[in-house]
Amino acid sequence: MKKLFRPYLTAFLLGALLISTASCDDDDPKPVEDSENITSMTISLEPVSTTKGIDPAEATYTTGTTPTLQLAPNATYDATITFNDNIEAEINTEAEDHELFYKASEDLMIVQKTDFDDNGLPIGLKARITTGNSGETGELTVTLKHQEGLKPDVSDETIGSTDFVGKFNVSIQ
Amino acid sequence: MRPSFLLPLFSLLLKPEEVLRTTLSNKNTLYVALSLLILPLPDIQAQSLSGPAETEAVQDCGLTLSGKVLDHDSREALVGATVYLPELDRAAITDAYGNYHFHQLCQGTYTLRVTYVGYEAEQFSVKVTGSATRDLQLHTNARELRTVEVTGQHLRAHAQSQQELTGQELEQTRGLALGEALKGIAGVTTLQTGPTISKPVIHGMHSNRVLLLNNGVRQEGQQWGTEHAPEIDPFVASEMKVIKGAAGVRYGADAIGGVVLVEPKALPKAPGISGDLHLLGSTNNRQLATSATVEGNFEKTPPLSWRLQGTLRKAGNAKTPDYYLENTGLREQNFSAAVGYSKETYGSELYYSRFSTDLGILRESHIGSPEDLAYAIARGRPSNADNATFTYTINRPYQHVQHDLLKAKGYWQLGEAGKLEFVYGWQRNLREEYDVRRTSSPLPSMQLTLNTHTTEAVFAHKPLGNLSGSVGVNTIYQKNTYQYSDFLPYFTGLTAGVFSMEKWEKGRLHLEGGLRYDYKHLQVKKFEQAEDGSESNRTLIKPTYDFNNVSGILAAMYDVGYHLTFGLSATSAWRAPGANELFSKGVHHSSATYEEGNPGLTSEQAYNFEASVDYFGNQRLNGSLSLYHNYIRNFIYAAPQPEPAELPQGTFPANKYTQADATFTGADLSLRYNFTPALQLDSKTSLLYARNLDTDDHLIYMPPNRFDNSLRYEVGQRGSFSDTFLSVGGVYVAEQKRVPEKGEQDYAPAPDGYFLLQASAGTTLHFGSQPVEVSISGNNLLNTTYRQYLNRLRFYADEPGRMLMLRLRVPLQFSKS
Repeated sequence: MKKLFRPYLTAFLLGALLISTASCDDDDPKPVEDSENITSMTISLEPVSTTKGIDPAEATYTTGTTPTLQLAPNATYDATITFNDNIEAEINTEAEDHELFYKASEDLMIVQKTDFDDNGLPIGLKARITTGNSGETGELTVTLKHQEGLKPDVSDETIGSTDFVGKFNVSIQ
Repeated sequence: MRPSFLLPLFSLLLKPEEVLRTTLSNKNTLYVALSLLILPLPDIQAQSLSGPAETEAVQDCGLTLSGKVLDHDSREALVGATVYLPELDRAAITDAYGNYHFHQLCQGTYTLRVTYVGYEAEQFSVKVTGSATRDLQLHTNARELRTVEVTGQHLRAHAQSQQELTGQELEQTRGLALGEALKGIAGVTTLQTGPTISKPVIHGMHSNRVLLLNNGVRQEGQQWGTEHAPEIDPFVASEMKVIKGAAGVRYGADAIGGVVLVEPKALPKAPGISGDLHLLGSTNNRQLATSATVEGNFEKTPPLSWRLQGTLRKAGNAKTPDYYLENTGLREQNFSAAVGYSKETYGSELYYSRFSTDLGILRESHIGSPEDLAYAIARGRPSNADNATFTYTINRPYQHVQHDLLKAKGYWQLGEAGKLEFVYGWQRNLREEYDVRRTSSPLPSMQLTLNTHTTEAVFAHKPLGNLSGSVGVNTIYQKNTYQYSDFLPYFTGLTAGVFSMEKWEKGRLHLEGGLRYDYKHLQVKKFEQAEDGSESNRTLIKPTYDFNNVSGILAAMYDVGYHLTFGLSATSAWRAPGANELFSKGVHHSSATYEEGNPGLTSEQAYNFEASVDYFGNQRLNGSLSLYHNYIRNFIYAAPQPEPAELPQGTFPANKYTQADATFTGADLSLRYNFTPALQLDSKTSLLYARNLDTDDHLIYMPPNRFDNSLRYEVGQRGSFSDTFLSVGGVYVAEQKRVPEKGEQDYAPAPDGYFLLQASAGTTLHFGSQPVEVSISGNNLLNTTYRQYLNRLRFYADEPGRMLMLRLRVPLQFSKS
C-alpha cells in the first residue's frame, strides 16, 4: 500500500514544483500612471479696479501645505481657479456636471460665482470676491464637486462627490 | 457549555418515563463526553493513514455501507436480521454482533428494508456520498406502530457542526446570490455592498476566513475584499453544505471561520438523456433568470457520462419602499460542462465552468471626501432619490468579474488497500472595477488577474478495525497581477500542506482526530513610495515571506440513544496574512477611507471549541443546538488611525491593518416542531458576542442576533398536484448594540432592529408524466423600510422593499431506455 503510494507522491510533488517554477517568469509591475488625479489648486485674484494700487494675489494649494493669501481690505477681486495639468479646461467642457463651492466667513469675504454652464447654473471657476475689513483672518475652502446628472437648480454642496478641496489662509491687511 | 440545560425543553414534549431515562443517560453522556477531552485519545495521532469519508467524489463506486441492526429500546444487537437493498437487489444478514455490510456501492440514495422476527419491518433511506456507517434501529411488534422517518440528513457524520441546504429548501433559494441562499442556515449571515453584492459570514467571520469549495476545488478569487462576492453560480449546486468553525485540517489553512461546500449532483449513471429547466422572475428589481441543464450517459459506453449547464440572470435597479436605488442592476452569464468516465476501480472527470458577471454599485455611494459621507448620512436618502427610475442599464461604478475553473479529477481503487483520489484545478479570476471618473474613459480603474493552480491527492485507507480515515497532500500556486491601480501588489504564493484525519467508531462513540502541516511562501512585488513623495522616484521592492504552522482537530460524538447525540470538538487553524493585509494601499470610494497594509503582520491562530446536541428523528420535536467559542490570536483587522492620511488628492480618515486577540462566542439553535405531520414550525436562532481583547471592546461589524421562524403546511397528493406547501414566517434581526465603545470607529450608529414578513407557496403540477414545479415566494411583504448593519452601503440608502419571486422548474426526460 505504501509502496504504491510513494512513487505517486514523488511524481505529484515534482509536478507541483514544475508548475510553480515554470510559472515563475520575471514580469515585474510597471508603475501606474494616474492621470486622473487632481493634485493642486491655484487661486489667482486680480483686483477689479487697478486705480487703488492693489496688488494681484495668487496661492497654490497641495495636500499638506497651508498657502496664504494676503488681500487688501474692502477690495473687489476677480478670482480664477486653475488646477494642475490644465484640468480646469476639462471642467469647463463638462460644466453641467461640476460646481465649485467657496466657504469662508462673511466677515472675511463675500464670494459670487461669475461663470455659468449651458443650463445657466453657476460653475465657480470664476468668481468675484469682496474682502472684509482690515485685520480679518480666516480660512477659505474651495471644493470642486462632481455632480454628474445631479446638479440642482439651487447650488447644493452636499450633493455629488468631491474631486478636490483647496484650503487657503486669508489675511486682510 | 452544558447541553443538559436543553432538557426541560425536551421534557415538555416527551413522555414522563422517557424523560427520566433521557435524563439519566444524559448524565452519563455528559460525563463520557467531558472525560474525552481530558483523556488522551488512544492511537489517533499515531496512525499515519486516515481520511474523512466526505470526499467530493462524483462517481464513486467503491463505497461501503455498514452498521448494526439494533433494538431501539434496549440497544441490543439483533443477530440474523435481514437488510435488503432494493435498488441493487442485494441483501445482507447481520452477523453475531448485529453487523451488516454492503460493499462496492456507488454514490446515491438507497433504501434499506430491515426485517426481523418480533420486530416491525422498517425502511430507512440512506444517502451515500462516502463510505458510511449507519445503525438501524427496530421497534418491537408490541409497540404501538409509529412512522419514524430516518433520513440521511438527520444523522450526523461529524462531531463538528455541519448543515446542508438541499432539495426543496435549496430550490426556494434559486435566483438568489450564493451568500443570500446560505442565510437559511443558523449561524450564517451575509456581508453586503448594496443589493447586488453579498458574501457569506459564518459565526461573524468572512472573506479570507471562510473557505469556499466549488465542486471540490478551493475557490480562489479576490476573496479578501468585503465588496467581492463569491464567483459561483448557485444553480450548479444540488447541495450546499456549511461547516461552521475552524476546519483547517481537511481544507487547508485559512478556514478559520468555516467552509462552504458547493456540490453539484453526481453525473448520471443510467443511460439516457435528461435535463432540468429553471425559469424565474421577480418584482422589485424585475429579475429574470433561467438556468438549464442537460445530462446524459452513453448506452454503448456506460461508464461515460456528461453534463452541460448554463445560467442567464439579469436584474435592474432595486426599489426601496420609497425610491429606486440607482445603478443597482446586475447581469450574469455562466456555463459549465462536465464529462466523466467511471468504473468500479478507477475513473476520471473533467469539469470546466465560467462565471461572468457585471454588478452595479449604488451610484450615490461613490464619494470623494469624508465630508461627502457626512452629507450622505445627514441627508438620509440618495440625493437623486426622487428622480431615480427603473432601468436595466448598468453604469459606473460597477464591477466586471469573470472566473474560469478547469478541474480534472481521477480516482483509483487500490485493491483492498483503499482509494486514491487526485484533483487538479486551474482558476483564473479577472476582476475589473469601474469607478466613477472625472473624464470619460472605457478603461477600468482597477484590474486584477489572479491565476491559481491547486492540486490535491487524498488516499482513503480501508477501514482498519474501527478506524477509518485518509491522508492527503495539497498545493496551491498563485500569481496576482494588476493594471491601472496598484491598490493590491503583484504577488506569487506557494502553499503546500500534508494532512491526516482518522475516525474511530465503536458502539455509540465516535472519535475524530486530525493533524495538518502547511507551508506558505509569498513574494510581493511593489513600488515603494519615494521619501520625497515624487512619482518618478519610486523603487521596486520584492519582499518575501515564509509562514508555516500546524492545524489540528480533536472531536468526539456520543450517541445516547433516544435520537439524541452529543458532540464536542476542539479545532485549531491558522491563516497567514494576505497580500492585501500586508501591502494594500489606497482609498475605498464607498467609505472615503484610506486603507493601508502592514508589512509586519504575523499569522492568525484560531482555537475553536464547540459543544453541540442533536435531537433527531422524532415525531414532534427535532433540533440542534451548537455552542461555540472561538479564540483568535493575532486577529487581523483594519483599525482606525488617529491621524488622517494626507494624499495628493485629499485628506482621508486612515485605517491600518493591525493585530489583536479576539474571541467569538455564540450559539446557533435550529428547532423544528411538527404539530401534525403536515404542519410544522421551523425556528432558527443565531447569537454572537465578539470581543477585541486588546482594546477590551466589542469588535466592529459583527452580525447582530437573528431569529428566523416560519410555519409550514404541506398538502399531500391532490389530483394532479403534489408536494404542495404553504409557508409563512419572518425574520427578526435585532439592533447591534455590541459596537465598539472606545473611540469613534463607525461613521453612523448601527441601524435599528427590523422584522421582515416572508411567505412562500408551491406545488408540483403533473401534466401526464411531465411534472412542473411552480412556487412563489415573497420577501419583506410588509414593505418595511430598514437598513442592515452589515451592508456597507447602509450610510446611503434603505434596503429593498417588497419582492415577489416566481419560480418554475421543469425536469426533462429526453429519452428512456
